[in-house]
Amino acid sequence: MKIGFIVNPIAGMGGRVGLKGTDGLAEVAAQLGGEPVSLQRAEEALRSIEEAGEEIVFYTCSGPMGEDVLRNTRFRYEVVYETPEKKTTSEDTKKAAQKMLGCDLLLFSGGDGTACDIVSVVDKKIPVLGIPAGVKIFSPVFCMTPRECGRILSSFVETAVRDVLDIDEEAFRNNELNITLKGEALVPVSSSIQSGKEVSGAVDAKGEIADRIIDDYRAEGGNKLLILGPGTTTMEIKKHFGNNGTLLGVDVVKNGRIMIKDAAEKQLLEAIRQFEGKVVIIVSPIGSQGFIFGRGNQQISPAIIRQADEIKVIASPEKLELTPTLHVDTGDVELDRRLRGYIKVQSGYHDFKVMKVA
Amino acid sequence: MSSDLIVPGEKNSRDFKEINLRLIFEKSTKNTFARCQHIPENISRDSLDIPELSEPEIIRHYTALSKINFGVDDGMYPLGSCTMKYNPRFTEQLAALESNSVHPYQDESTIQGSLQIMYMLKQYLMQVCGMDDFTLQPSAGAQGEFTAMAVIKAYFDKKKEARNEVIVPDSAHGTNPKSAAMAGFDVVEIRSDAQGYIDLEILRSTVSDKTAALMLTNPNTLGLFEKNILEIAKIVHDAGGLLFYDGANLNGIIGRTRPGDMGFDCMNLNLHKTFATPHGGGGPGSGPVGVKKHLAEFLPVPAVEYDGRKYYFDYQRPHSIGKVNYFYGNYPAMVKALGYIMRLGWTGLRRISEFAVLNSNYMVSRLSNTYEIKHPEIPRKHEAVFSAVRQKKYDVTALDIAKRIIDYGVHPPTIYFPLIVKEALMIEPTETESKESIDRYCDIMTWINEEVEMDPGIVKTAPHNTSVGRLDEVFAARKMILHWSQSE
Repeated sequence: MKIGFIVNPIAGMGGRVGLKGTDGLAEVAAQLGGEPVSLQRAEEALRSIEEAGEEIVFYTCSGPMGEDVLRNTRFRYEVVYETPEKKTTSEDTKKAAQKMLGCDLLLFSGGDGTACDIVSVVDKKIPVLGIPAGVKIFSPVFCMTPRECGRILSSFVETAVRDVLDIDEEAFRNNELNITLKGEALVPVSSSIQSGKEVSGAVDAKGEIADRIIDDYRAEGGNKLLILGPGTTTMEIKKHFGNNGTLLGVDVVKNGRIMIKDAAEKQLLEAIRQFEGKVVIIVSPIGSQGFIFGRGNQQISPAIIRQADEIKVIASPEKLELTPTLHVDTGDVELDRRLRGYIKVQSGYHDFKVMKVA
Repeated sequence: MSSDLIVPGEKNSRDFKEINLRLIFEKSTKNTFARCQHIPENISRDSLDIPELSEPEIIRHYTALSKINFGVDDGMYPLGSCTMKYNPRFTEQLAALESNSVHPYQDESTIQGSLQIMYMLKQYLMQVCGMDDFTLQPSAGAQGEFTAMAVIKAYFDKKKEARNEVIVPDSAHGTNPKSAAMAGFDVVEIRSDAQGYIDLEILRSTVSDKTAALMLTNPNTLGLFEKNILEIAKIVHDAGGLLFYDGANLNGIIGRTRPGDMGFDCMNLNLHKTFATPHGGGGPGSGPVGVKKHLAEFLPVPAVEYDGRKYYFDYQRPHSIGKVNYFYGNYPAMVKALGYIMRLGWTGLRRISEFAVLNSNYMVSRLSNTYEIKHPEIPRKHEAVFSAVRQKKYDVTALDIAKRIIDYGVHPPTIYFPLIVKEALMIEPTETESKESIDRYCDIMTWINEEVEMDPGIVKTAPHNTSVGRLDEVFAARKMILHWSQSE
């Protein structure tokens, strides 16, 4: 197997010194006594890969962005990107990733910021896997621990599309969680190959969910205004209504096609005002933190939610596995109270799961 | 290369194990048989890609395979939820006597005895389960579930009620949601509470005028009896829905309580789990479906009936869902089940659940200090689910433990099911195991735990005492070879 390997040497430095992230603050972190944890975590991950005994050739960057870690292992490697002498930036991560597109997989050590940089280049051309070393690790593209890395690489048979998220560090430092979706990545799925008794294998859940929504839409004559929130799950639906849907924005479907893309609250209110049929909001919780309203889709404001005839929550079974509870934080206390309780979340063509909204 | 080296796959290999494991195609010798002179040129073919072996070579091939196989007749086989219990041999004799002498195309008047067997079995199953009617047609548990779901659909169609949702708890058998979906329902999964029971609050907030049914296994797959079953039945019935009982395995309650008394409207049974038909490759199954009166008119046709003078097939059921089997079901399994029920009688049937429950609780008392089990103080029914999370600290998984169990000459339990228990080891000793064999099994599980703590490597690389070692499942999944060909 050919694996691209990138270490973000400054990732995680801000964590121990309470900076909640190192984006743009590497020097401050260093002054406060922050130490790089990324290299050490990458070393741990590589040791677990050695133990798993996979035959691997690494393609990496010189110095602290990869070679320094690989030098102490038994793996063969080739340097494909020269790391600059002075401090490294996100541009270096992106340039290095560009050189590794011919690999079977890209392994990186860092946090959500590093994941975003890499996915902005790699997209879904090759699978990626993150070694958790950053301060913020919200994207489901990371191993649970560096030690788990070897097992995943030696056992994955399939890949799945996962969200790549980032949070606003400025806001995070003020104890506000503002998560946004930055893209999609292809991630190795390591879940048990020896699956349990009477459990069917993985299916294309997002495709199934979309098929059902479309079938219902058509069966009811299409007289509905669909307000589709951001995310990879809703994107699957948007694709059916034209090629102008946005992954990160709120889009509106009317008369069988996307009429407004990346809509702001005002546009949504106007669309509802002009429409006479049923208004349906379709959203998917972002990542594993479970917010269905109030994070990353604030355009769907309380005023809009109140006017909706139906709210559909959709999510793949995989995502639901990682999401024990759903949350709402619309900014309207009374509305939040109304939305709390139990809701049926659609997770396949015929499949629904009752989830608690807290 | 040294001349005395044994090279796997070579014709002159000295490794008898390796030779035994060769595929029948690999044992074949080309052109062993000449073309038969009596077949005319124009209808004979030049090549046929089948192995060329003589009769004794074929017999030896399959005998060798049978010797490396393992079944319930070899030793304890506590595959949870599968009920791999010993099936008494007298039922085989009965089935062989009876089934070889009848044909489904025979006229009713010539098969009165066979119809009587089916009719009597139906009557007994109704008594055992508290149902008002039964069909014996489905040939498997999941087909039984599907039949019941189709019956429920027909019931609501006739009532002109648009109910399209079936509620299934997250501890359910994997086939439940699939059977409901096959019948055209949406499946709504609800989470169990912390102890593994149905969460009444979630159930109450889930039922609606869309609810067609709740599918429930009781005792559930954790081996726990739903203590609130009457309340559960009330919630679903008050919302206008029906209750389906997954009775694949009746060993935990047979002779003690009946699904009909718990409020269930319909159910399936697996004759091949509870009523003495070998399964798991040992024989075809049978999944009869029982219903209360209000659903009887929708059961498959023909029904076996008796008019006081003769037994007959009744096709006069206009609201029937139709046939679910080409003929009348898996007849030998019915003969075995009837023989088993008549031999045991009511007292014997009660003793099945008595011993099944005693055995599983004895096992829990022996293993609960070694393997994690939630709430060991709550009595189990016929099975119990342990977790290998403590062993996971040594990097040993439920799969590793299962493989190591094989080394001790017994069969592993079901693993990774139900999904709500991490690293699940689901053990069902069944009523046919003695205290000695359960003790032996628990000793093995305890020894393996000691190995995990002292030398986890031996567990992680198991099995060591089998014809083949640990199979590379990842390689098999990444590079699937689904048929044999000369080139590979």
